[in-house]
Amino acid sequence: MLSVANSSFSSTVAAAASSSSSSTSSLRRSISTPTTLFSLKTLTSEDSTSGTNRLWKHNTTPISLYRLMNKISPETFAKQLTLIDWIIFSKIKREELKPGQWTGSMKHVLSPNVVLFTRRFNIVTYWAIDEILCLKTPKQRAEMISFFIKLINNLIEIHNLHSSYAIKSALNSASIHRLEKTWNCLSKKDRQCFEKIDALFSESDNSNKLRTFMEMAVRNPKNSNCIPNLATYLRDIIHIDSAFPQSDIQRANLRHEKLESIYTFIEKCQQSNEIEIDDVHNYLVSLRYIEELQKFREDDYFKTSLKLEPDPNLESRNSYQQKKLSYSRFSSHYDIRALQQQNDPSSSSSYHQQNQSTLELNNPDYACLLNKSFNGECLKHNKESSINGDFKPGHRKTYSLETNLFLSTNNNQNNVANNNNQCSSSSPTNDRSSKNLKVNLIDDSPIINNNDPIINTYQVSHVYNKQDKKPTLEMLKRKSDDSYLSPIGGLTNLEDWNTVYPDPYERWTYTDKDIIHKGCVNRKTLLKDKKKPPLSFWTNYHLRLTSDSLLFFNSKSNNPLKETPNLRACKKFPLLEWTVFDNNNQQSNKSSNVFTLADHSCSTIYKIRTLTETETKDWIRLIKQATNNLRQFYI
Amino acid sequence: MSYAYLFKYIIIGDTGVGKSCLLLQFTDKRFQPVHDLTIGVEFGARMITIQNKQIKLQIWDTAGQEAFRSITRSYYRGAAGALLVYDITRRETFNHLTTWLEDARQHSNSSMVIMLIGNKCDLESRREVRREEGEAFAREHGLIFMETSAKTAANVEEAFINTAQEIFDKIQEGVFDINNEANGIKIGPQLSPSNQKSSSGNQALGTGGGCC
Repeated sequence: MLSVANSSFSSTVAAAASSSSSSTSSLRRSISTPTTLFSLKTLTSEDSTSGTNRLWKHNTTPISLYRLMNKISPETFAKQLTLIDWIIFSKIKREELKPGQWTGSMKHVLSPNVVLFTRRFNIVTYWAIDEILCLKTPKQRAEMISFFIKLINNLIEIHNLHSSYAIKSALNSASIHRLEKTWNCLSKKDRQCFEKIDALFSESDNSNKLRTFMEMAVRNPKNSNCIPNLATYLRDIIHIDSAFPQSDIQRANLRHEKLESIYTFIEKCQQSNEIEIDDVHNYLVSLRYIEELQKFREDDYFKTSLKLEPDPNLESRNSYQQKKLSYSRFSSHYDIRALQQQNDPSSSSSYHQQNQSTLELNNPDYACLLNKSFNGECLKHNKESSINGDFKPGHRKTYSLETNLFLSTNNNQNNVANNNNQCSSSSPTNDRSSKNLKVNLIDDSPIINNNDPIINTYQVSHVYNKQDKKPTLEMLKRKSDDSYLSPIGGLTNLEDWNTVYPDPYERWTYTDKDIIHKGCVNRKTLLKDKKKPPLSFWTNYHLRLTSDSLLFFNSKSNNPLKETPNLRACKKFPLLEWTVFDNNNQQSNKSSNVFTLADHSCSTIYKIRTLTETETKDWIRLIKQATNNLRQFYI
Repeated sequence: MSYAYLFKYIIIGDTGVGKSCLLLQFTDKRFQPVHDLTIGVEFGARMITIQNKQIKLQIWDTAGQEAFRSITRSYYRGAAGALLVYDITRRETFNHLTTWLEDARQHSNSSMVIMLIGNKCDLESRREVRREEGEAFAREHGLIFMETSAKTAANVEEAFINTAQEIFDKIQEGVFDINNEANGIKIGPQLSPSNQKSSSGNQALGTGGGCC
């Protein structure tokens, strides 16, 4: 049984948060922890919640662990990390561990807790890398690493092999491992300590050391809580499945026996553990990560790492790299960000305080550039790198990356054109882009957004709380109720998840809670694919705004009371591709109940009419807000 | 058994392309039912002979762990060779190669040898990726290419051995710094530098005893 005293953490955190961090680091952090997408900041920033809760909100200045680490012991962190891990780990059912299930396209449905647990691993890893790379001097970074080494030790002490492995992997990641100056600043003792940790997690002899350690931990009746390093067992399961395939009836017993031994072990691990929560918990829970942005983050890390401690061996190749880099997708990603800053001061966090609806994309040049950068530039670049296929060895990026996030979300319009060409293409192309869904490139599973409850650890804690009635988590519930839960991600349990998204590819069935705004509108086409339609009418639609798109449902009636949206006939407009224009502005004093919706290349333009002026204003305001949230998240 | 060199490999690629099947096929003799698969077996290791030299291959499989980003990535460092596998019956696995390749290049040491493998070539009727496409991709990115079948064992040996041959050649050319363990190469006890000269490599050699 572990219990943690409630420390004076709140005040510490308040102090840390109020002191401003340097602009670059906060910029970097705001990118690498893109938490604002679905949080609907405006709704929360204006409410009157005060005190510590506020500090944990996504929209507050990120708190540097460096400021906290002298005031809060690694032990406390270890326990709270373990608590979060435990909440998820204890829910993993043996059915979720059927061979390969946790990586397929149905993983969110078949192995939800394994997916969450994996996600937790990645969150912790990225957190550790973030906290090290945001520090300017090698000495500071070494202090941070030293803190993490202590944290790993504490985690190992309480038999949390999951998070300890995650942090260990962070320290071993390319971006951190290469920081020679930093590692040189580390004390000998710390280095030896890390070597020991490395040895424990060593893969040699089929991770025998680690396995023995975990077995011992489970066997010890006094201190039997153990959160195993699940990754090791997941691979075992895959190997058993390969060595004794289900089709091999003769060896079915062996298969069963071996799988059973793993399941039993994991169930044994799940048998006990109680940890009381501490305020640090909230900090740790507030760490977010978006699966989709893994690549961006990793790239960002490596760039930062190179910036902090340039590689002398790479100097000679620098000019080549720089030249190449300027074409890379990532640099365009940065350019856009810079551009956004220039063109649009409202994109900073002060936007919501101003409570003003400035349109970010009203500059057509910018819109055009944005479009080009997202699509044209990348394609052009792909082409270039295919021609220049000469790989220069070294730590570097390839330039033919085709997993374009923006392509994969933006290409609604090009669906028809892109389909069916896949088999004949001679080099890998992004066929994902032609599908209107975001999928994980490794295993084709749908990518779940941050607002999706299944992914939100906090909400899982909430679920845990609700279902299992653990008194220690009451606090969690309270806190989640008043400030954390995003207003649009409100599903409360996994069963709901399954019913809402029975088919992972059919994710248009938004629940009511996903909808920010809805109502009846009329739509008229002004321009479609750069052509003016010969005849254009006002047509009735039932319009819904969600966090990432506008959905037009065919509607029979214009009367909201008799509204019968045909939920099957729906057209989806991703917010990142569309811009809303306020017609009132253009006609100065004359107000109207019409607004314009145009895509970025202005090849398709619609007019939307609502019943009243106020309704129009509401629509414009909410769409802009949602777009802004979305863009802050992506850019 | 003593060996001249130890090479570390990593197998990467989308889920379900048959990574662990390839490994099992290659190291099959170590996976008779009598062995306990999970505990205490030197996993994914096998001896091969190149130019009369015994070489031990130690292979890290990433199967089942694809979603644990940093684990997969920490394998890259310290690997001398990578087998990048796609499934010829599933085009998307071929389409994702660039992503994998980028990961590998960024996280590995510069001289890592990468072998591109189109697996499941026994399923000719369901083929979605033509052999020429694989060849073209490999040529474009400077990889070695092979089509294999983990099921029929076609080309499996060759895939592992050709990679080893390439690494071996690179050692001969002096491209690999064999004293730096981070490159995924260890010198075996019989070539121990302690016999030749004292070096920092000594520590690494202590654990390099034969396993098989």
